[in-house]
Amino acid sequence: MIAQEVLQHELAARLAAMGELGDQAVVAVLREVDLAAYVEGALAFALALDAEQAAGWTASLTRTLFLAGDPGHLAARHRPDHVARGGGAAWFGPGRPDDYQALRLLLRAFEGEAPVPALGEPVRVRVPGADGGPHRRLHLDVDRMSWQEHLVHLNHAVCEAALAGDLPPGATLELTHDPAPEPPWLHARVGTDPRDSERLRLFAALVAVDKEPHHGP
Amino acid sequence: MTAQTLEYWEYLDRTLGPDADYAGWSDLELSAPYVRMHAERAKAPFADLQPYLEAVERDGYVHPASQRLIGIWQEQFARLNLYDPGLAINEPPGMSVEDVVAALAERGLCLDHRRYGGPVYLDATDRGVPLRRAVGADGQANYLICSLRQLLPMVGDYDRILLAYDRELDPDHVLLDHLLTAFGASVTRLSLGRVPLDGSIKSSRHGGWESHTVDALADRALSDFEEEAFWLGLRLYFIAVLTRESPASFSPDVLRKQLQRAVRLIENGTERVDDDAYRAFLKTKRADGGYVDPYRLTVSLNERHKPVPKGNLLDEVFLP
Repeated sequence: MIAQEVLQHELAARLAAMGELGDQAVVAVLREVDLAAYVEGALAFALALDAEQAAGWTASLTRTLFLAGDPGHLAARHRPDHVARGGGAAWFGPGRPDDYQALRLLLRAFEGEAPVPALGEPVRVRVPGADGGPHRRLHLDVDRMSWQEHLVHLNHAVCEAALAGDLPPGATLELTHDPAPEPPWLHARVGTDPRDSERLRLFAALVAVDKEPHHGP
Repeated sequence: MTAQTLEYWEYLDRTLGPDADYAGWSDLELSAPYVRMHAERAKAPFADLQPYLEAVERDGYVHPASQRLIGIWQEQFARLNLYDPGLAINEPPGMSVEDVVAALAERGLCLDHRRYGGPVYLDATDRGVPLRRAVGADGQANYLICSLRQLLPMVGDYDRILLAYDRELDPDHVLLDHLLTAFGASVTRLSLGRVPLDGSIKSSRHGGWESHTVDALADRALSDFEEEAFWLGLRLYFIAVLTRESPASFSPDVLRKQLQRAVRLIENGTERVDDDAYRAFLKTKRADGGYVDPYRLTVSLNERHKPVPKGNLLDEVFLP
C-alpha cells in the first residue's frame, strides 16, 4: 500500500502543473474491449495527433467520452480518426463535445458495472511508430474496479503518458492488473478513492522496466 | 411478457393477496389498482418480478386478473363486432431471449455488453437508427425483445408483416422494421395516433379515461341507435373522421353525427356491382404493401361524386 502522503504529493504536483482547462474531448466508441488492441489503438490515436491537437487535449485532461457502438456501422456517416485492430474500438477527435452531438444521439454512453477480472498474464503491446525502444510497465489496480472505471483510467494513463513522451514509439508496454510498486513512477493517476472519499487512491502507475520482465510468480 | 404486466401482477398479489377472486371484476375495477400502482410509484424491483417471469416461461402462467381482463376484452370485441385475432391464445413465443440475441448477433444487429455488466443493444446504427437498449444488465428484456421472440420465427411463414402501433413508439418500430427486414421480412408500418381527451394525450396509467370505455360508449350509443348503426358509425368516426393521426379530441357530437350518417348509409347505400367490378374497385384502394387500406376504404363510404359499391362494402366488409 502506497502511503497517503506520497499520493498527496503526486496529486499536488499534477495540479500545480495544470494550465487553463481546455474544452477538447475525444470520443471512443466500443464494440468490445480487446485490451491489447484497445491499448495499441489508443496509443496510435494519441501519437498521430498534431502538436496543436495534442496540446489542446492534454490541457483538457485527455477528456474522453466512451460510447457503446460498432465502429464498423458508423463509417458511412461518421468516419473515425482511428480504428483499433479488429475493429472493436474507434476514436474520434479531439474536438468540442458539441461536435459529436449526432454521434452521441446515435450511440449510448458505455455502461459496464461488472468488475474487471484479473489478467492471466500481462498484456503486451508495442507502441506504434518504431521498431525498438524502452520497456515500460503499466500497473492498473483493478481491485473493486468496474469495466467502466477501468477504461477511463486505462485510457487516461496510456494517452497522457504517450502525449508526455513517456511511451515513445517503439517502446514495449506491458499492462498488468495489480497494484503499483513504490515510486519512482514515470506517470501516475491519483484520485479520490470512490469507496472512501477521505482517501486518495493510486489507480495506475507507469514504471520503467530495466531488464527483461520477470515471468511467472 | 412485458415488465409492466408483471409489475401489475406483483402489485395485485402484494396489495390484495394472492387468493383474490377477480372473476366478477369489471375492466374499471381491474384498472384501478394499475392506475394506483403508478400513482403511488409502487412498482416492484425486477428481482421481485422474476418468479412471475419464470412461471410465464415455464408454464405459460397468466395471472387471474389478466385472464379476467382478456375475457372482458373478448366480450368487448364481440360488442364492437371486431374480429378477435386470438386474444386468449397463449402460445409460448418461438424463440427465447437468448435465441433472439444470438440470431441478431450473427447478423451484426445487436451489441451484447453483458460481459462488461452492461446491456444488450439493438443495433441498426448502420441505417442511422439510434442504438436501443433491449436487455438490461440484470437480464430484464424489454418489449422489443418480446416482439422479436414472436415475430422472428414467423418471418418465413408470411408474405408481409404489418406493424400497427402507437405513434409515440415510432422510433422503436422503425428499428423493428430494419431488424425484421434484415431477416428477409417485408414489413409495413402503420403508426396510429391516440385520440386525445379534452386536448391531451395521456398514458392510460394516469387514468382520466373512465367515462370513455368501450362499454360507456356502447351504452350511450345503443340507447338511441340500432346495433348495426353503432358498428358502422364507430368505424366511420374512428377510421374515416379521426384518420390515423387523430388530430382532434374525442367528440361525442361528431360521433353522434357519424352514427346518424351510418343509419342513412344502411338505408340508402344499396349500390352494388358484380364481383369483377368490386375487385377492380378494391384494387384502387390498395396501400403500398398490396393490401386494401382500411382508411381509404372507409373514407370511400363518404364519397358523393364518384360511384362507390357501398352495398358490396357494407355486406362484405363493414356489416358482414
